[in-house]
Amino acid sequence: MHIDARQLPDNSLIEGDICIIGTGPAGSSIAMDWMNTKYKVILLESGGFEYDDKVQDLYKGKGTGQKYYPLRASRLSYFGGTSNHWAGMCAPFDNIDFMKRDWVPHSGWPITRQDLDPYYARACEKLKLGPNNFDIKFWQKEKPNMNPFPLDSSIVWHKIWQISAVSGFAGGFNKAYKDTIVNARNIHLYTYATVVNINANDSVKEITSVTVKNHAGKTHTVKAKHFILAGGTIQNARMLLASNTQAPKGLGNDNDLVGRFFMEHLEIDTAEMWLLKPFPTDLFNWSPIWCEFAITEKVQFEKKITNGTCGPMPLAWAKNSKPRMETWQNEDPRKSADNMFKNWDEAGKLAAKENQGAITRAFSFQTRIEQAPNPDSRITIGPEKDELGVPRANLNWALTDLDKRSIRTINKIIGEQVGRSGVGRVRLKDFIQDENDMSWPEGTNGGWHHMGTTRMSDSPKTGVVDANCQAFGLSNLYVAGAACYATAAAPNPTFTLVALSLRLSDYVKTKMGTA
Amino acid sequence: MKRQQFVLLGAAGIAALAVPSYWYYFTDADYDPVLARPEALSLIWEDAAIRDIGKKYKAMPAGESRQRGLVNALSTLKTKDSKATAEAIEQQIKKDFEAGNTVMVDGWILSKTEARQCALYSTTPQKQ
Repeated sequence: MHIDARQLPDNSLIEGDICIIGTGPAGSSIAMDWMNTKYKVILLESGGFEYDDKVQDLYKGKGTGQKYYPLRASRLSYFGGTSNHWAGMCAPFDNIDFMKRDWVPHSGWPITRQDLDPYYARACEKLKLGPNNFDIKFWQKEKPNMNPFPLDSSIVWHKIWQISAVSGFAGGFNKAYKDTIVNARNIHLYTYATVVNINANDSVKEITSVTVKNHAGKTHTVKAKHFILAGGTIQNARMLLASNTQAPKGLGNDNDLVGRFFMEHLEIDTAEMWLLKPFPTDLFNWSPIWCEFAITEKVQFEKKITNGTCGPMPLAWAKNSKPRMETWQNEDPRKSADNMFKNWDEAGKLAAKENQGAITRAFSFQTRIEQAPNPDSRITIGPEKDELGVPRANLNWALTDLDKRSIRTINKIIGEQVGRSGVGRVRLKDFIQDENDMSWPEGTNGGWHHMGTTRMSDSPKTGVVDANCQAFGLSNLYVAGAACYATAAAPNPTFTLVALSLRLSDYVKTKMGTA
Repeated sequence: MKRQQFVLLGAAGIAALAVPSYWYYFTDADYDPVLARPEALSLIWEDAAIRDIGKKYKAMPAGESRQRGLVNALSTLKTKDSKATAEAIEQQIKKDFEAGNTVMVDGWILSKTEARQCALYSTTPQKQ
């Protein structure tokens, strides 16, 4: 069922069993998991079914520290959330990503990879992936010509991604699931229902309701037994910090952790790989799978680096394309996307002219690497408020020396392995050659992967949510999505955040007695 | 012998020693040109690039700048014929990478052996 909250009488009361705030992959996956149950699900979406400038304006915010994309343009506020922009890349986290690593401060999750495995299987269904198998050996049997490079697999391995059929290119969750959700008997989707405050009981131990507003001037109250914040990493933290009339530091923020540890994936061109002769493989052709060179757990322990991967792109295209941090700077996300794709098209034409049909032997490495958790990399709220009266979120993006050292080491290791294999030679770009240089170039991209602002831990002293994604100190408030990540891992976050959200859904069902 | 003649004769002797040293190494019957030919790199680099890398390697603080030293180091791989020598060099390059015996020259991750080859090549006469 769909209701446009602008059409409701002012000060309407909306009641349900579970209230999910946000319709991106996290919120929508949870909502669909409750379909055909006896429970009434209230699903709140700030925007409508299409892009709306006024609603998108609510996402404006300031950036400080390392140069970042405009906050207004780095996520989307309409049904389906940022999946409307999503490239569709899906790969599970590795075992090491959940481990406490003594060289990575603040690392270690209160859950393991094995805890998530059953949910990865279910996430495959929501994300319309192929079989839940990311082993290169499986794909070599499935598809022809999936030839890996002859690298020492005890040092460098081939990590596989699947490309979701629910990507932004295919219309995201919006196109895939709008009808499913709207037609679900027990899901009540309210569009134009922006949460402006989370209200707790007198002892601030339980959430009683949320207040929603819209640009039509309407204000409504939503009551439920359980509330799940699924508005994205930045917005989830913002809402907790802004709900500060009963808790001056913000809800769930007694230990000043909400908003801290904002993490991204650094995605930067780092090196060139020149093959001595053409290497026949379709592993790097994007469809149906994608592959990147990854560093084994053993080597990460030895070298004390963070986790990251290198994906090869044709060099002629890469050197003619501008960094995304340069092309994605328009506050309008549509214009930013247009700028980026236009630049890629131009790069493609220049590359074709250069190559003149020759088989490509020269590649650029794009390294995607986890940012080490850094408490100074954070979302805060400032004095400026948006049109609905909510303090705006601001980002200070801060990187560490470990990030720089890791990116250099990963590329050096892969360079050595490529050389050893006799396949080619690798040249590191200038900015990672000098071991003592900890600076970052202007073109240091993020992947638009927002993580960590309500991190998961086994103690409220070190986290905002527990192993079940329940907010410490609040009996019925949960956070769904990558905001709960304790570390960022190597691959794109969406597959794991859907898995984690489905796990949270099961937990809430257990509490409701409907598991 | 008068002093002036001695000086002149001495100068001639110095001049004899100042004849380009590559002449000595590269015309020596024992020298195999394969030592200064980085085969793998020649598949991705032209002559000028190999020389450039060779010069950069020689200029590095830990680089080997002396021609004699380079020839001596590479000559340990010399065998009975050029083909076998080339194979021995290829094997040594692989061992270098396996053992982490690599250098970074202008960002390139190279085997020490092939860096030496580039360095030695950079001392040979350029083709006209």
